[in-house]
Amino acid sequence: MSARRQRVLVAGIGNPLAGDDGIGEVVARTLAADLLPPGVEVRYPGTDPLVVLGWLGEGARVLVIDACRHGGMPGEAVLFRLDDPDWTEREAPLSLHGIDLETAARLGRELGVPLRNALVLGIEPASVEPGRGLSRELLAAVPRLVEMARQATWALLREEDEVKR
Amino acid sequence: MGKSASINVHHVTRVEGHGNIVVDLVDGELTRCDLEIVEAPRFFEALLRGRPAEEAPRITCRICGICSVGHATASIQAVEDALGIRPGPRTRKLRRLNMCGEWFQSHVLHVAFLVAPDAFGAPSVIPLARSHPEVVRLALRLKGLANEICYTVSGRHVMPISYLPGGTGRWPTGGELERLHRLLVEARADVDALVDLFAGIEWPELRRECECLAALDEDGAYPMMGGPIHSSLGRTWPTHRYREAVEEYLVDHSAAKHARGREGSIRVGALARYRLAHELLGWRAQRAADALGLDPETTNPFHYNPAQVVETVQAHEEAISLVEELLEDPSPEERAPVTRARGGEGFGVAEVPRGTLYHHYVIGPDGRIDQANCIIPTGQNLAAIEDDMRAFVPALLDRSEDEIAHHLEMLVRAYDPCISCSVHLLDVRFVRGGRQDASGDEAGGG
Repeated sequence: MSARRQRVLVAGIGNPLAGDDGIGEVVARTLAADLLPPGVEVRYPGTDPLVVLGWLGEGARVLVIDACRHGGMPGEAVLFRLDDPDWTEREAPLSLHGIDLETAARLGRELGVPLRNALVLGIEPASVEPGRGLSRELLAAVPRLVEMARQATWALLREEDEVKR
Repeated sequence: MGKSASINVHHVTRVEGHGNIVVDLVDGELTRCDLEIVEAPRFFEALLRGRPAEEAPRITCRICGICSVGHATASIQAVEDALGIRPGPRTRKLRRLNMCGEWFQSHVLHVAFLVAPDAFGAPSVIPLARSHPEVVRLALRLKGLANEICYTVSGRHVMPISYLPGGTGRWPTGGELERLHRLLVEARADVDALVDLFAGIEWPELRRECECLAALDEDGAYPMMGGPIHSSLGRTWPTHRYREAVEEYLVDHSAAKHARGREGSIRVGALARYRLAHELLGWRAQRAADALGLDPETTNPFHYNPAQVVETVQAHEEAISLVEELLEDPSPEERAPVTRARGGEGFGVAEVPRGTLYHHYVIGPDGRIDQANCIIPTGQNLAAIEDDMRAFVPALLDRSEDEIAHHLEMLVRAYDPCISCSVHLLDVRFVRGGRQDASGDEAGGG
C-alpha cells in the first residue's frame, strides 16, 4: 500500500524478542486497537527504520515509536522532530538497530528527504536483553506512552490539514 | 627480520553485530588471525522450547531483522515436516515471492549501503550520499520496492507473522498483486543501473579454494526454498542429514559456533550458490553475471558481492514471474491438512541471503516444541573468513597497517556477516609481539 494514500503513518519500530526493544510495537499495536482517525495507519517496520525515509519521500507524515537511549528513566519518553540536529549529531548510538534511526535521519538529510514531517517518540528502555516481554517499568508506562502517541498523531494530522488549507 | 604489525581499528561499522579481528604478526610470521565474536549468545532455541509449534515462525522471524523471512520459511518448513503437512502450490509460490523480497532487500542493503562506500572511496554511506547521491537514491528506491514485495505478501515489511502451518494468514488481493507487478516491471531500469554501478569495480584479488555448500531446490529452480544439500566437492545429503554436511564446533575466541565440512572450512551464501547453481539463473541474471565478469569457478571471496548483485537481478525477475503466476488465480488457497497430529521430528532448510539456514525441531504429542536447533549462515562462514584472512595477510605485508586493516575489514564485509541484528560494531585489533593491547582502539592506530 502506498504511503501517499495515508496522511499519517505510525511506525512501531523494534524487536519484541529483545526485551524493551519491543516497546515501539506494543505502543503502536495498542494505539491501533482503538478507532483511528481517517487517514491514519499503523505499520510495523521491525528493525528497519530506513522504511520511514521512503514514506517521507512519498509525502506522508510519520510518527516513529521506538526504544531510544536518551538518558531518562526507563519508560520516560522524548518527542522530537526527525530533523532535530541535537540528536542526529550525537556520536553515541541512540537507537538500537543495525541501520539505526540516526543513520537513517542523517542519510535522509543528505538526500533532501523532508525529515521535518516525522516525529519520534523515543522511549528509554530498562533492558534490551534477548527475551520475550517488556520490563515492569515499561509495562507500567504503556498507557501514558499510548496517550503521547495519540496526541502526536493528532498533531501531525493538524499539520497536514494546515498545509492543505 | 620481517614485519611486525600492531593495528587497531575500533568500531568499524558496516557489518551486522559485534566482532573483533585480531591479527598477530611477529617478524613477518602470522601467529594469530581470529575473528572474535564477543556478543553474548541469544539462545533463541531456548525461547522455542515448550511453545506451540505453530508459534515457531512468529518467534524465529524475530531472530534477525534482515533474514526474518528466511527464518520464518525454514521454521514453517520444519513444523510442516514434523506434522506431515504439504502446503499447496500457490502457498509455496507466495512464500517464494516473499523470499525474493528478502533477497532483494538484503542484497541491495549490503552492496549499496555497506560495500559501495569501499568501492567509491567513501568511509560510510553518509559521505557516499554526499559524493554520490544518485547511488544512495537508487539503493533506497530498490530497497523500498523490496519492502513492497514483503508488505504485499505478509502485511509487514520485515518480520512476517502471517505464516501458518499449511498456509498463510494473509493472502494478497488481485489488486495488490497487480500494483506490485507494475512496480516491479517499472523497476527494471533501476535494477539494470545497479548492475552497471558494480560492473566497473575491481575487487581485491584472493584465490582460495574452499568447499561450497547450498541446499538446491528439488524442482530445479535457483536455490532459495531449500532441498538436498549439495557440496562443490560432489557430495549430496538429504536435509535430515544436515549434520553430516555441516559440523559445528566451539572455539575459544568466539561466542558463536564455527562450522566445518568434511575437509575443513566451508562457504555458504551468494558465492556458494552461484558456484553450485549458476546455470539455473534466468537470462537477465546470467547477463548481469557476464557484465560483472563473474566466473562460475571463482574462488575469490570478494566475489560474494558481485554474486549478490546477480542474485538481486534473479530475485527481481523471479518476483515478476511469481506475481504473474499468482494473478492467474488470486483467490486464497485453503490450508493444507495436518497428517501427523501427534508431532515428530521436522527439518527446515532455506537459502537465505547470507547462506543456508537450518531449523530442526522435535514436536511432542501435545503439539509443543521439545527440542530446537538452528544453524545460521554466518556461523558456517566464520572459519572460512579466518582461513581467508590467513591467506590474505601475507599478500598485504608491503602495505601500511591502515591498508591491511582496511582490506581485512573489506574481506569480512564481503561475506555480509550478521553477528546479530541489534548491535552494529566491528573492531579490528592487531597485536604487536604477541601481546594484545588492552586499551582497545588506540593500539597502533596504523
